[in-house]
Amino acid sequence: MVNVMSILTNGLSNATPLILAALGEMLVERSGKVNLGVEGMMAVGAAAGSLAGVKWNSLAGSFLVGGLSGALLSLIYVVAVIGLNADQIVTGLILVFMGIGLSELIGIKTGGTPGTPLFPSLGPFDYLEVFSIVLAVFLWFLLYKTWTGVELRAIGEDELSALERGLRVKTLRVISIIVGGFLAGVAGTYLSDSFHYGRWYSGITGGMGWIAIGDVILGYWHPFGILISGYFTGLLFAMKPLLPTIGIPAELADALPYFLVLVALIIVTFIYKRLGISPPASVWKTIR
Amino acid sequence: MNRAQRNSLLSLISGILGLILIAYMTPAGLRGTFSTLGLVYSRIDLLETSLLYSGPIIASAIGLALAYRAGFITIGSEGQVLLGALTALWLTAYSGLHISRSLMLPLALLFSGLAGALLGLISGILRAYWDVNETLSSLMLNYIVLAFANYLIAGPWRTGPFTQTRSVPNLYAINKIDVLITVLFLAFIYEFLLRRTKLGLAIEALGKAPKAAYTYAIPVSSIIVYVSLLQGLTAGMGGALMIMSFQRNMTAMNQSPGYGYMGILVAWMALISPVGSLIAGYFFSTLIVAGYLLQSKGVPFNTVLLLQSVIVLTFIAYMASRRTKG
Repeated sequence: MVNVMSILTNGLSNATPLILAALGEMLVERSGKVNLGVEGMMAVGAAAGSLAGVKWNSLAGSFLVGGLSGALLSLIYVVAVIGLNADQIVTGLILVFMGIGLSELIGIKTGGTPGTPLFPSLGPFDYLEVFSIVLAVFLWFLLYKTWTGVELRAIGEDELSALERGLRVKTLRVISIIVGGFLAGVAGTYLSDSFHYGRWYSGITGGMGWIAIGDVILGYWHPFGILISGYFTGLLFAMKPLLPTIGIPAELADALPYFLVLVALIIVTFIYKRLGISPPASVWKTIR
Repeated sequence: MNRAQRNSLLSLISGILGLILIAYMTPAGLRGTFSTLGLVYSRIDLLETSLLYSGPIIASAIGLALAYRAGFITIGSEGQVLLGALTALWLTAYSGLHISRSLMLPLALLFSGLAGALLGLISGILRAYWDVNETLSSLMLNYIVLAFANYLIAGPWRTGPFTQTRSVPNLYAINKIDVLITVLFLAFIYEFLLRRTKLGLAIEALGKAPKAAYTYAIPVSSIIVYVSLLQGLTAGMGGALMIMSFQRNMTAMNQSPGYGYMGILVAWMALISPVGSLIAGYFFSTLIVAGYLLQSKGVPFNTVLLLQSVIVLTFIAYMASRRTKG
């Protein structure tokens, strides 16, 4: 029969990159911007992290380089959107393709190397799974228990009033975007380091970045909500291999997570609308 | 020099530096990359091949331009191209239909267009009536279509010892003239629609001032639904252009072919104008041909996507910085 325990733990490791990237994007959206480039930043993180891991045979180096590469890509977003006032949606979309292309250019340099299983396991949990949960608690504390958090949320709710009150609109936004990029890069590195023995392959992100953006909505822009939605979507990916055993072709099973995330988005958006609760106001204005 | 001039100059310079850096990073090197590009622009046969590749890209961009003008930020063109291609492949190779060559192209365009439009309609209805974010819903649909395509290729449609489908018969293959006529026709229809019809006016109003559009009783929801239909229509047709010209059959895919995604870049490069998409789309497909040539030197094909996105971003940043105050 099906090993329920292994699916539940697999769900957690599948959820980790989603949670990391979604927490980063949550910060960005809480500060009042939307960066749709998560997929691209993850792709670059996966390739650059894998390259660093292969070259130095170091896990920490791999994640550091992966994160920094994501942050570097998000810097382009900062320059274009904050600096030059370019359209944030367009810039985000372009960032996706830029990241996918760049990841290929970096990734081919890892080719031919025998991938080494870099990732040490802590029993059923690994470091980053623990880190992603700790990070969520930390972000919750930051957002709801500190003055900086209040400031950040105020910026996302009403930019003009925040400016009038002398809040650090630009500074906090830029920091959020770069942290978001770093986390997306780390999430990408996790994909190659944890799932594929430190190896990169073309198309490794496969929409994970977009699902992370979906998780931000599903988790209602809240760190703990994102833990739940991230774990839910991670579980969907973990359940994928089960479908062929009940007679659904493996190729169609690939669609399952995307399909169910779409259904979840529909339901959750409907509920938000019904209850009259809304996300950070300036985000809502830009996507609606 | 004022701030706007300085910023726009800086964004142009950094864009060009970025392109040089990318070319330098490729296995072909700076000289190899630029000499290949030069080759494409100096050989008439390669310029003609570019026309074939421009089909799906321009067709997607035309519909997307309309959608983006209405503020409907869909990225579903990728899945729509793929579904349109599957539809045209079914029609030409699997349906057992035997009609003349001149009838097949319009028929295939119609069916593929409808398939794409239906796919676009899903995101449109979800957005118009349930407020579901169309960017995410259309992306999810892209992956669902990809999985469906892979299922057909590996399962019911599989022919021969390899995981591939039948090919579009030679009889029904289309040439560069067919592609050119189709995209020209589509671009001018859509340009007319935007500039000379009530729907076009409503679309412009909705994109530029959604609140005003709502106040002046423009039926926002139905406009969004129409736009999503019209957007998917051209992208689906692009799928037919793809499978009947250069692609011909399908093999198992790890990722989508990417022409629909390039259409997104083209649409923004063309400042979301249908006729402008013709020029931007053709320019980008010369890059594709260069990309295929560069593959023989070990350059991954997605480098094309990188070059294209750097070009578009430079352009967007340039346009934005020209508006800088002070």
